[in-house]
Amino acid sequence: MIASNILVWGLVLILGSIALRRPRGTISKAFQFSAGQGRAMLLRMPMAILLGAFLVEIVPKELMQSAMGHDSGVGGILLASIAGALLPGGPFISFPIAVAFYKAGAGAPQLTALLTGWSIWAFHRTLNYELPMMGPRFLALRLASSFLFPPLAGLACVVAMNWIDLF
Amino acid sequence: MTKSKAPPLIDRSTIAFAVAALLAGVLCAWLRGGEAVRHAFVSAMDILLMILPQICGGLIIAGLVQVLIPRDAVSRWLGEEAGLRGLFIAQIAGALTPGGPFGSFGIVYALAKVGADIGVLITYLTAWTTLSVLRLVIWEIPFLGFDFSMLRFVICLPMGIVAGIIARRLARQWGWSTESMVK
Repeated sequence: MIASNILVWGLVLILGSIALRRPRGTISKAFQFSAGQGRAMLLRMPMAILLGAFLVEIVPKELMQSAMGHDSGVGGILLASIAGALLPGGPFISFPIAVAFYKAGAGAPQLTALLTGWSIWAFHRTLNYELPMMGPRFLALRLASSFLFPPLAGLACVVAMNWIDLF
Repeated sequence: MTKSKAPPLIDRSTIAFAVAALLAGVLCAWLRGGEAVRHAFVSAMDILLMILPQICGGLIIAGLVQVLIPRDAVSRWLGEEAGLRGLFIAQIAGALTPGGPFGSFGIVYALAKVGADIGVLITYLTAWTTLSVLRLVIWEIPFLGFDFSMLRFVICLPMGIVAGIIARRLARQWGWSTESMVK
């Protein structure tokens, strides 16, 4: 937590001091971009976090554990991959919901599959950005090259956890 | 660089999330009672306060990277690369690219148009979606913890390059040139 903050703000200092040496206006252009991005998540992020917090309370732990728990096996990994693909939007929406799954009893391999499904299959991003921008051929080639990654990531996590004694 | 319009404060997805949160709240009160609702509010507040400093820092970094490393420079850089070296460079560039899909796909689209190596483009995109370092630091570690996040990161490490190698093979097999794929 603290380390993460030190890393982020250290990077801000380094990049900021580089930007200060650039022509005037560089910094203000950067802040304009940051402010635009921040504005976009200003309302969406708290809503997503609140939704995630409610989900933690609602979703029955037994159900989550049997569907996507540590012992749910390959079926749980596949289910989690698909659930991840269906998660909408950027990290400010997906991570609050992912943490809700985690707290409700999803296993680490299933969660790995979920995040990879969100990254690779990403229905929301593919439909809204990739398909209209890049066209169907590009999309087909990208998916063909990485289609199995989400469940494979889950399986790799199972193997890794047997090796190293984590969690 | 084209000037992008500031995204709206409230759009369909904001409303969808507000409605979803409201419904979940009502359901929570109905199924688990008022104490659970209060508990959810407190934990949401905790999370928000915990990640706020990182998010602010992350937004500033994204803005600074945007102006310090212009898209054209990344394009020029990736456009000339090929071979295994190209895939490694694309992997690093993808992992370090901050921000949403608009920026990354903008780079990839421009490169595809001029016929850059397809493996480089697929590696770049796959690394950007699976390995994004800024996302790891700002979102994943605070939400899911250091151990889990690092394990997931290491598992995803080969994906960008493997996808690039497969994409090259498939494109050759199917007879697709990069230019022929984009409109």
